[in-house]
Amino acid sequence: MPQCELRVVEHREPAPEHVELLLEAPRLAADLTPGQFAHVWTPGSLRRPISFSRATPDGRVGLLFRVVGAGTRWLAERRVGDRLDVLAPLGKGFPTPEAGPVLLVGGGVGIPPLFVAAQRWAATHPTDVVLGARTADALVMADDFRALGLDLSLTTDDGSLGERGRVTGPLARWLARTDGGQVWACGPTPMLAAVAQLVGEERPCWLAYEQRMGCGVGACLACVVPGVGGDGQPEWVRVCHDGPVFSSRRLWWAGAEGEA
Amino acid sequence: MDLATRVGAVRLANPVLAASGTFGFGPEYDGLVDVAQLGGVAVKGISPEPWRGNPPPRVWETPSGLLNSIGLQNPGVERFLSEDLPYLRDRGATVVVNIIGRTEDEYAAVARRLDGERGVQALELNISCPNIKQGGIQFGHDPAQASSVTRAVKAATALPVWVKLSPNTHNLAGMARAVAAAGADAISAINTLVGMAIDLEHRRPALGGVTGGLSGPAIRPIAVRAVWEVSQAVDIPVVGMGGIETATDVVEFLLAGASAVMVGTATFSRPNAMATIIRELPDVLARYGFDSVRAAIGAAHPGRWPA
Repeated sequence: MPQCELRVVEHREPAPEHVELLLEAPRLAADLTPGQFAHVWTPGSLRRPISFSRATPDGRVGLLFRVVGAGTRWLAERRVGDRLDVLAPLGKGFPTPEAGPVLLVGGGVGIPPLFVAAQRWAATHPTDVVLGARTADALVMADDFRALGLDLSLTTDDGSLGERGRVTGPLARWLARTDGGQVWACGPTPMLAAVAQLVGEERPCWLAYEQRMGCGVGACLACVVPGVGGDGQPEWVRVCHDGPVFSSRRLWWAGAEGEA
Repeated sequence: MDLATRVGAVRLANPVLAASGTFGFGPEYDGLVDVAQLGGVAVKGISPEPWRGNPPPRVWETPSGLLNSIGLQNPGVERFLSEDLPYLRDRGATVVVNIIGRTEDEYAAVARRLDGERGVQALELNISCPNIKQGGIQFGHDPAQASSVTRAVKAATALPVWVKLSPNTHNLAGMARAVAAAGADAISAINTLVGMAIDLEHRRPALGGVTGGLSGPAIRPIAVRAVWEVSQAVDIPVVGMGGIETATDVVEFLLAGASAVMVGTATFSRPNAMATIIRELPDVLARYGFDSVRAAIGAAHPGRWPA
């Protein structure tokens, strides 16, 4: 039964307008796949889909989100001891990586699910990390990745931290110097489109999507994005149920940059 | 407490059905909702051929409500029958197939294809979805067209036909009388109301389809009014829906004249909403002096008021 009540055991504010809630959930912490999400009850009509940001050996999972509206504001006000009504784990996460190096590319609030991936597989796969955000303030979890002993390339749009520019700069250099390997990314849709284009068809490229979501279980068809159907024609795929992680080959890219 | 009710010839173990478009075809909620415990399931609207639906974003939260612009995306009747219906049929669910079309012939084609299909107990004719630019919605505003498409569907199938009406009309009672005269077995009321929101951050309409259908508790009083009007305008049963979240809401609809109800938007927030309602309904009925669902139907109508 994926509906459960989970207790908040820690409340963090890793950056302005960003909150990470740690929840006591031993089974989830052991079982969840990086990229999967929780659909969290809030007082409005819809739950809020939030990717897991960490799964700790002592049985905690994290939910890291940016405060953008009434629902996330309410969530940000939860305190230690409060219980959250969550549906989890939902969706299909990142696959077990193939042999060889992995590059994790995260943008803004797309960074957290990649940390779960790093927790799972950095020990067995050579892993490089590119993190980007608009400003230094919005670049979260860098210290968490460093604590795993990983080297980071950081970019900000305004140059306030790391390299000035987009994640595509370090990504292109990694692709040029690395034989084979695979790229996993999560971030805004235009970033994912740029990543998919740069990586091309030669290497596996897995992308975790965000989309405004309804039911969270595949019933309402609200959270669709353009995918490639069996006949090679575009067809909608559901972020909640078919994703949120898709192979870039499963997605339809024409005009995708223009989609919010 | 006797929760059984009837919508014409369709017998329901309890009056709580899943509303079309909010419950997919059932398996999506596997492990969260036991479909056999529900009064029934109205599946997502089905057309003769697959429909693509509207561009995303397709939902937007509003005060006490939800705007959606799905655009009736569906796999078409053949794939529905081969891939989607078996889940509900195998679990013994009461299935109401919502049908959609751009023309009268398309509605009739789906109805004909579903006629005699094992596991289908009724059709719900969606002539009122606000999210398609042509077809469906036109039938929903013109009593003559609504009557005509109802007749065409009735001629194409022996299944009971429920006609789902739009609240986006000034003549709800007239629409109800027209489809009843055309042979409808029941009326579903209401579909969503046309609404819109602006996404300030992106400076554009919040929905890819620009306008959308408003559902949720925000529309409940409008739905209660519609059930009240329709149930007194026609002799056929009314299935009420619009913002139902609790067993108390269900009793309100029953008293307004509904023989059964559908729950939709509430399921998104609380997948167990329908199960909770069914569990609590006996106590709520008893609290207001009813010993059965049937006794509550239309109990607030003039002439039945307690002294």
